[in-house]
Amino acid sequence: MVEKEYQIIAKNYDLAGRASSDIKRTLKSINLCRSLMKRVCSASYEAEINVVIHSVGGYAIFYMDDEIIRLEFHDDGPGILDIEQAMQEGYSTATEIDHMNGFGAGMGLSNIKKSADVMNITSTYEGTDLILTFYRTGECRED
Amino acid sequence: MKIKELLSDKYISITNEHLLDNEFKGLYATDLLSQAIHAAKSGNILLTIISNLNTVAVAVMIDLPCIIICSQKQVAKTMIDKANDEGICILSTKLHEHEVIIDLYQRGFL
Repeated sequence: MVEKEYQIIAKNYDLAGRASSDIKRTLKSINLCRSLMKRVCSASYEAEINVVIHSVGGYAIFYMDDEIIRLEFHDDGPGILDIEQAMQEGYSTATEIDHMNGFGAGMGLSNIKKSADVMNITSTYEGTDLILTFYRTGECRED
Repeated sequence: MKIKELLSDKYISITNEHLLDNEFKGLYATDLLSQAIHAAKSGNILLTIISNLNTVAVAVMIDLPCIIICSQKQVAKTMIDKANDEGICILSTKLHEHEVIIDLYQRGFL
């Protein structure tokens, strides 16, 4: 069993992806199959960037045992007003600066949903909690 | 196929020379990093004008061996340093994305 926690700093594009890079290193070290690794890393990076772009800051928790990999992203607000709308591809509240950094296309949440086996998201003005579960059993779909 | 095989006077390698030995298979062109995360395949070269640390982070995340920064966009030293650290090759070119695709296709790389 492995559990790690990472701080995510708002608006800091230079450090964005640090948590996901470390998670990838951990997954590589156990030789996780490539297709599952891509799903976990894609979702992790998108979720981390979401916290950087949209929140006032937060943290991520990576958990792994023999059966599942779980990623949790928690931030301190301001929350997602309408989750259903945010899930639609193309909907985004990102700014010009986010666009210049290559983000804010409104694809993040739907990409995350496609990548994870289970996605749970709750949001209030006090913050957003995103929990992603990936099953380690029964997969190795190759790309 | 190695990155160095596709070099010509139109492309400048701006990362460490040994990274030209990175192997690639196919390419993916986009300026939306989320689209790259979603659709690029491991081993692809990423063609883009998005020149910043996040581009390198995405390449690391989904195993892209090389980024071609098109349309002569500036590449910051911090981006080059990170790419060198992570083993990602960066090429810079004056060509626009579609011109790179045409060039590589005409020379038989795609």
